[in-house]
Amino acid sequence: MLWLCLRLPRLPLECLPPSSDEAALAVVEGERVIMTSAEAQRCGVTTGQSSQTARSLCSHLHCVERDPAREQTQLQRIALWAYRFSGTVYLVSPNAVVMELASSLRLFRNLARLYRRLIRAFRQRQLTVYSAVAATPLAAEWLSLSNPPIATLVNAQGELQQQAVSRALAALPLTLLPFSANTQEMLHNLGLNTLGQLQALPLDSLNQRLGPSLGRDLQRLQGQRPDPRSPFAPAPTFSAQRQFEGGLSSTEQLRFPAAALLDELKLYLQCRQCLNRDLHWHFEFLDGGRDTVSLQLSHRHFNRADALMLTMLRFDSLVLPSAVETLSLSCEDFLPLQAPPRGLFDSAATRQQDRLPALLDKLQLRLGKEAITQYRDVDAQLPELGWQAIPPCRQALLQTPPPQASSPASAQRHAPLHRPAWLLDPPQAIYRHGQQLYWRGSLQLLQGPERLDSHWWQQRQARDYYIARHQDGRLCWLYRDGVSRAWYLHGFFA
Amino acid sequence: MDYAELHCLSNFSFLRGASHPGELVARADELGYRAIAITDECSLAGVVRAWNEARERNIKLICGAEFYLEEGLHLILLAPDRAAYSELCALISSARLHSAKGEYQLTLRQLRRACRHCLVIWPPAPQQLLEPVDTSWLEPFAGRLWLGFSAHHQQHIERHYRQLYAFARHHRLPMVACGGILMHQRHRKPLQDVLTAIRVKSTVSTLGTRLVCNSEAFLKPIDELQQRYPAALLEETCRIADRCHFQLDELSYQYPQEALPKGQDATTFLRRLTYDGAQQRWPAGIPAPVRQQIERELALIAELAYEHYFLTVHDIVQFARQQGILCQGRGSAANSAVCYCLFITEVDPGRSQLLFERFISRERKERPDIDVDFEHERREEVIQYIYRKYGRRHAALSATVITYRLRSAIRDVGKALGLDQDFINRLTENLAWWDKPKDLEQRLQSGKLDLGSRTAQDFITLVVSLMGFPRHLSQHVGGFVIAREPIATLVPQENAAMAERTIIQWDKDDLESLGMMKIDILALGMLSALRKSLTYISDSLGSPFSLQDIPGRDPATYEMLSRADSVGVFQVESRAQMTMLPRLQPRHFYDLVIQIAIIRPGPIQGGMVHPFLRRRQGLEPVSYENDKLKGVLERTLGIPIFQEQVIQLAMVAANFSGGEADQLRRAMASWGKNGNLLAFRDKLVNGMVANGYDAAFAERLFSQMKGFGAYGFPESHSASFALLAYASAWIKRHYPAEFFCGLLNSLPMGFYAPAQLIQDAKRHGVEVRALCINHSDWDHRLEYGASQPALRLGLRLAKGLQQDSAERLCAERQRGLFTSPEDFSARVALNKAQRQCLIRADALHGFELHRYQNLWRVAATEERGALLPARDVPFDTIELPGPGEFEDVRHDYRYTGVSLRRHPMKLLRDHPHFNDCLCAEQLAGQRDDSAVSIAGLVTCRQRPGTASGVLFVTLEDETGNSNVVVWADLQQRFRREILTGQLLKIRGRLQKTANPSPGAVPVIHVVALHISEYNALLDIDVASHDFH
Repeated sequence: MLWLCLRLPRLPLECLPPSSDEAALAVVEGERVIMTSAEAQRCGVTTGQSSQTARSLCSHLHCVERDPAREQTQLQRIALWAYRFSGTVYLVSPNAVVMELASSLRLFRNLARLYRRLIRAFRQRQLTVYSAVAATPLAAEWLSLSNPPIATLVNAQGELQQQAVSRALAALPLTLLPFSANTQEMLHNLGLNTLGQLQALPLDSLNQRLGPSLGRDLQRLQGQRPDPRSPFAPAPTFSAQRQFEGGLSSTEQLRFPAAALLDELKLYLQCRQCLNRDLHWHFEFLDGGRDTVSLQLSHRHFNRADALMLTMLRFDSLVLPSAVETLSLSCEDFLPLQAPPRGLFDSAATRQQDRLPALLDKLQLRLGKEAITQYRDVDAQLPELGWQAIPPCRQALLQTPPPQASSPASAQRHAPLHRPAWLLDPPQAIYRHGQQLYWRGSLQLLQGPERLDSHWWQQRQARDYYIARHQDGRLCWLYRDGVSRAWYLHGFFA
Repeated sequence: MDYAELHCLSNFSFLRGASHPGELVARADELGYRAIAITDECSLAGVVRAWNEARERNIKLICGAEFYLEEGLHLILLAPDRAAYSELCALISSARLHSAKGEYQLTLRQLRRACRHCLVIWPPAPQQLLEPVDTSWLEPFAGRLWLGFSAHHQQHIERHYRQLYAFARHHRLPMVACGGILMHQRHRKPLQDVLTAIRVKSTVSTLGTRLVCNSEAFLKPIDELQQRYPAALLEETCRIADRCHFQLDELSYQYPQEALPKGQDATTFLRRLTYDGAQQRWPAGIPAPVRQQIERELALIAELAYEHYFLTVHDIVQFARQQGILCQGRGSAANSAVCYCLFITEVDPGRSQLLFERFISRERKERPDIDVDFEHERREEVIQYIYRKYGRRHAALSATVITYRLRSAIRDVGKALGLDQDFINRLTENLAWWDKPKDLEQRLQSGKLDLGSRTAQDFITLVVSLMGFPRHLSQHVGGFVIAREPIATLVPQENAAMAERTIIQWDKDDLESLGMMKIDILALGMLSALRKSLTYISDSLGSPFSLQDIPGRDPATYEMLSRADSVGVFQVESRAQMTMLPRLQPRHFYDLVIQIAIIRPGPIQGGMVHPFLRRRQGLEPVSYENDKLKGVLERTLGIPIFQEQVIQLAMVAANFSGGEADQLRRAMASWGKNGNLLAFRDKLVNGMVANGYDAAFAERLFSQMKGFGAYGFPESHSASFALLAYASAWIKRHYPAEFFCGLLNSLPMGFYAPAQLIQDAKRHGVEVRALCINHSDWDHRLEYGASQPALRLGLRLAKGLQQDSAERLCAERQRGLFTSPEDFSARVALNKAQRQCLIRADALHGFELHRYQNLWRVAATEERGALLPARDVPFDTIELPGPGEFEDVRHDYRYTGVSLRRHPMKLLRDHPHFNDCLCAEQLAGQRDDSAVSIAGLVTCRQRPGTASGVLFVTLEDETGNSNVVVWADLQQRFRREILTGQLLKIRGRLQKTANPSPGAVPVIHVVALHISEYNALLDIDVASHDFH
């Protein structure tokens, strides 16, 4: 067996959206700096400092809170990508991937060649990678912490040099290894500094003093004890991208990267045992513009060639405004390959559940995606800010709004407000003659004022609202602006 | 038309009300209201402040509170008379004492039972009138219940009024207008929104309808009210106000009588106690001037009827003395002949009678103020005694109102406005307590926020108005109120954060306004250290030795202090004090009093330090403008040093009246919380200039006043502290082992970490012995046998070790010393972690094994399951390689904070980097202004706010400490080195301050020119403390 561990020691920093090389960045966790950019380092910011110290060392430092979820997404992407080289891939939290290579060596002819490919791929993505090979997954994992030159571990033929691996392992400083704080403390207090020193001690004596788990690790390291692990499981949605330095300017040039992305998707679908229903192609152009092309698929199984053909058909109809810098593919809607069990008789509710999305699909196809929006209540004092238009969302369609929580205290403080169903945007100026107000006819005030005075943090709005009757009988909502003293019509009651 | 506002929240309804109580009262008076009620939510914490404002004005203050009951009712309670007030206090106390700190709980049932006198206003919510509700609860409040109506231009107000009216008719209840006031003026609305956002931990822009919908909840002119309310509702407010005649000054506070034996007359009894004490103080006879002073003081005490106060303090101090708890009084009244005779204080009026100028003032009706310091480890015993003797019903702790300061205001306003957290951090960082809001504008610019933008301007306005707002009530460090009446009838009580502790809702200023007695029961670490040292001296001498046995005027002690040999000495051990000692050359007790008072923000900001030094050193003649000034300033060579002098100067030189001087004193004490002091600036400066004084001098005097505000330090405090400083210095000079042992056993306190104290002890010839499981106790102790006692370090130094583990070990040791690591682990049942703490601290070094091997052998016995038979441990013969000396030192520091091995600098001395470095002790032999290099461990970094950006770094090497001065421009260049350096090498210029006093030691500084950091050579976690 031949195991390769790829470790991303700078993942917390490198998983962040790209920024300029000169940016002074520090990733912080609980007010402690855990990683720094080169510029920040130049200013004296180092790992372990409090963010306060760091900022006082480097006034233009930007502190970013560590985002473990983002790191895991990135790591999963790498694990998924690793599948093309190996059938056995393990994720090692927080920042490494271990894969078995012996069975794929023939495919790539030799280790050196495969290794070069791997490293090149990481370099292209501007990711720092540490790596190591060894005969057991744990040995590869630990060795990768010191990132030994690969040539010291394998010979020209790509065969593992056991002795060299053992030497490299023995030289590993214990402080690098992922032991518990207690164990580290104990090892430190025993004056033990390298893995070699630890390995030299009899296992029984060690177990007696440090507990059995360390000893078990040492046995796994040597392959003297099985090391069962659960294989990597991909993320619930798929997303992958390709960047093109200098950009691609014709759609035909996009064929190859699109094919590669569909390949990745295929691997992903295989891993998850599911089928996608959509393809979203996102373009980022050199001039900063963006575009998205979405395809709905109704296939029964994923066929890369078909998908590529469909994609290229759509691409051909595109007019590229500028060279494409990034092409990415994402899929959000998946079906399990096996349909979920359904009840014997469809209830009305489930039929409804099926129909609504279908209706939405149809409407969108007919009228275009932009023509359909969904309204959402927003809690705000100003009526015009009291709602928001959002793209329709299937889940929300099916949900009935939750009943308002009604405790006596909240009822007392939040009585339901009387608001018109129809708001004018912008409010219409009302003509005033003497005491009489006119808007396409005369208006008669019925009730008010209701005073609103809020929103000072952007532009203070003070208004006295009245309910009025229009001469045609409609009930109108008008207000007098507290500053300009001018009258406006703001809406109609149904 | 008259009006009284009956429902008004101040900012003591925390994070709801947006105006100070005083602002509300003042505004109501300006608008011509007949009365105003402060009705904070389940609280009377703001009423005293409101009352202070109201009694200056022509407006009636009504005490009240509002409650949200568990049943969903919102009620306002007003106190018409004294009985109702007591009832209100009791109601608030019971609602709060059964809830967590800051919360309350009250049910209708409790209210019905407890509220028999208070007037009740119920402003029902519209829904409550619509729903069919049980109205039987209205019955018991018949004749004193009103329906409240407020017109704030809310929606459906007409409908609500009609419903309310119908309800009132149906139940025969009167209606009354009540404003539901949250702010004194409309412009506080943004602040009120910000408070809401802070309260619900959100931002103003996302709060939506949770914000108050408009800005109508402010105090309005009466004519505007007339447009909004029916006249009958307004008239009703005055009828209610007229029914309320309770005023806070009716709380006739009376001193407790417990300290007076039954049947005795207080005046006679105090006189007897005083003269009994005087006999003890002056066995040879009371000197005539002292007798005169005692008579004067007793007469004044009798005139103002303060006997019970002195008797109570005497009683508490007497208890402490019986228990062997060291204590000492301070404060203005403490330094009186009476207090000296009552053994409340040790400042001998015969030694320096100039101190007693300012006793209790007859004109100012100021209550006597005595703070008593107790040993910090035993203060709780005194507190428990007070509760026992006076009862929990009569003794309670006063509150401290925690208010918004600049930093907290910036943080909370920033969050409420949704500013970036990173940005807020940047803004508050390095923000010192002396920074003023004025600097904020500049800081905002440096923080790259466009100051022209609305947000920035809003931000500054909001921060400035939020400053000084109360945030919550906290426990005062030790201010006790003791009263003859039950406290519960005077002021509500609530829970403090500490379990089983309750506090009253008023702070010390409130108590002072109402003339209530307060005694500060404070904790002082140095008293613990002194008591311990005195015990060790008694052991060494074989006979009891007490504080009174320390001889005064010991030249050797003053000589030691003049050499700045003051590590560990009370109040004069800081770096700044150490550089001042050789300049000031204290030779007498009063020199120490000045020494302690002079390194404070007051004299420093007033620029009084250097003029004083010049006069002290004879470089400048001592002169006085006139005899009046001479009277005030003679004892400090014509330079004002003490807070009292500054106030007296205002009276003598700027014609302040007694009352004005008193206001000035209050304004000084609250400087930093408000700007009241600024109001006195013109009067002071103009008054002094008019009297022919130099304007620059007047300005400096005013700066000094601001400095005192930040850290008030009256002469009387300094005198009491000087006594302790002298006592600790004397012990250090003559009994160094006892001194350091007492000090080390009282840590944490003072300025230095154990490592630095132990280094200093070694430099004073004390033999320090390592901690050892066969010899050490939990505490450090003295071992006799040699000519001088040796200091055996205690197990308390072993980091992570618990006291009971150490005690179990010591108990087992009684049965015989431990013979091997295995013997130790077999005999003392400690858990693994505790045992390892001892090994890591190298407390097993006595077995001639190195620490790694000890751990290896002990650890072998540990993983054995408890149920397995205790068979002999299989012995492996493995021998681990031992640590080098450097590794040992590193472990020592890491696990005990102290190493008795060679100093790390000694080990590194031959390193090529340090070839050209001098030792600390060699610096004295260098010429002034010569180029030098030094290297050492950083033990202290300090940037005093008073020293214009200078940073002081203290380096420790094997021979002692050196002081390094780093100027601001260099701090920028070597920021990283300064902030992160543990081992520094400094190239710089030696600065030796010529000292004209004969035989004086020069003050030596190294002014840094280049700094390099060598942490890599070290990797030691030295106990460095950083002060700002």
